Amino acid sequence: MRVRTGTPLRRNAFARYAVPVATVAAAALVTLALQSFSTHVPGLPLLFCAAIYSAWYGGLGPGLLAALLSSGAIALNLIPPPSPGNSVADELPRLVTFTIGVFFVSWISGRQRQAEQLLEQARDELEAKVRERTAELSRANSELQSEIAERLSAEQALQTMQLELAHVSRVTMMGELTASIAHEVNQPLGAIMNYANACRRLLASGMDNAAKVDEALSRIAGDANRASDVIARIRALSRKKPTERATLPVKDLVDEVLAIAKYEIQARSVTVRVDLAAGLPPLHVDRVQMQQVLLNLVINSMDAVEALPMKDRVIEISAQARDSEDGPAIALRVRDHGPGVNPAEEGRLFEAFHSTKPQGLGMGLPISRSIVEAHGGRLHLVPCEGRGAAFEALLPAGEEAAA
Amino acid sequence: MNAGDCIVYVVDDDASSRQSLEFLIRASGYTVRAFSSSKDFLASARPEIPACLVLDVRMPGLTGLELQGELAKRGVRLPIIFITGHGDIPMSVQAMKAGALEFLTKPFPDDNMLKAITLAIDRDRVAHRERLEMAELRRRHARLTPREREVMASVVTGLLNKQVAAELGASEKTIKAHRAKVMQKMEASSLADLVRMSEKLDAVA
Repeated sequence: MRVRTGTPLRRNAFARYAVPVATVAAAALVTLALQSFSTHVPGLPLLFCAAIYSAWYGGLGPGLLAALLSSGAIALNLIPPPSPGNSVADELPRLVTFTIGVFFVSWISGRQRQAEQLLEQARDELEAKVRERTAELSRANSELQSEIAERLSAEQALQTMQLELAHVSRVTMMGELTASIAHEVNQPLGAIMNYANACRRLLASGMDNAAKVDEALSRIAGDANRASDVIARIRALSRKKPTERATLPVKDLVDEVLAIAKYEIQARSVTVRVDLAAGLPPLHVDRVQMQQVLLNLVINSMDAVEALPMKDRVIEISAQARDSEDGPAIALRVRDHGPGVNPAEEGRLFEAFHSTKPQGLGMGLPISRSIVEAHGGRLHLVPCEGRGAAFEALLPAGEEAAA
Repeated sequence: MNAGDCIVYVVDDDASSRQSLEFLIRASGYTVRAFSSSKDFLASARPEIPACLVLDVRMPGLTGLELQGELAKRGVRLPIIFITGHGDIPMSVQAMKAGALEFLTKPFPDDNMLKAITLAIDRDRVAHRERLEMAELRRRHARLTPREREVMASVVTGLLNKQVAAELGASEKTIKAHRAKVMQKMEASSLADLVRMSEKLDAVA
């Protein structure tokens, strides 16, 4: 910051020194003209004014010049002196008075200009600073904006990736359920074939079998519905679609998953026990993704009990309301009585591509966890009594159940 | 159309499958009784008429193969036609070795199923006749006195009355009377007939 001392003048030197000459001359002429009308017009005030104005306008030098010119004019009798007959020497006090006045005015005007200038300077500096800051802020702002945009697009990319990954893992999981799915479709198809063949036999018999044929046809329709339900379920699971949250009662979720895995459960002679607490609030989740999570846990549990004697192949699915730090939640738990998780493996359970199964991709648990976390929940291995492993998904509860 | 004096049992846990099978077999003129589990079938009272069993391989609880074993253990010789939702070769081999009559994969042509049922019923009809005959023979045999049974056992080996009398320490006349009683009680028309009956009784015993 620069602090300027002194009283620099904005005007150029010519203007500054032309002003005293012109004003004193004008004052003298006006005084003379006025005095030609009336002798009562005093000679000094206008000259004094000219000197004061010159001092205010041009500073000390021009002020002194004006004072000198005025005194000279009076001394040379160009302007009649107030008290006639005075010598030039007698004009000295007047010149001193003028000079003091000039000094005083030029000092005041100098200070005023200094103050003005300081103010202007401060204003300019302030303006410059404001401009600088504004530029800095807008730069920071644009940086922030671009960072935000970058982060947003990164987040979107991550979400897309997670959806893709979840889809791939879902399709892989369905690959494991192929036998199950084929069986589920095959049963009603076989039934339809039986009814159709029976109808042909009834018609060929030549007897009036209209009622029986009608019965067979309505059963055909029922079995066709059953087959199409299976296909609809599978298609929903295999479709890749953006996350879509809706209200889903826990019981519906469990029933649907058990329907999909029904044959697998039976073929492996596994007993599934379901224990859902009464009056549970519904979940607010993406139906397909949550089916994927539960189905994955159920398949893992079935794998865990596979080598056990048939009576011990039991898995338990339970759900209860729980208060978590983030408000009311539902703890959905899948527990088996298999060999349990090797403590050495525990830390790596949710690692991608880490699998303890010979055909495992190692994607099930990590993807299940990412799905649960995207829903604002948590997925853990939880301690359980006795043999086996228990996985618990803690999911935020949706709206209170409507009746 | 088939005679109504026989019965086809169906055991399948899948409702669609079971009901449709029941409908198809009934439409072909058979009497059908369907069960949703092996346990229910074992617990049911079955009339002594020609029959066969259409059995699903995979079921919760007692599977089809296990039911086959259980029936064999109980001496129930019912022709079995296995059905399965998927062709499982080791399982079908095991079932056929254990005496299954046919192994069909769902969905199957109705002709195959009904042919298998006809064959099974025909076989069981023969077996049934034999079972009835055996029961009759046993009933007749049970009416003999211990002495008469001894006489019958000796006579069917081809010994003359005299030789039998010597063997059993009785008079030839007494033996002759016993022999006439045996022929009458066993309702045998000739010695050859009696020998055949004796062979059958021995085969089972």
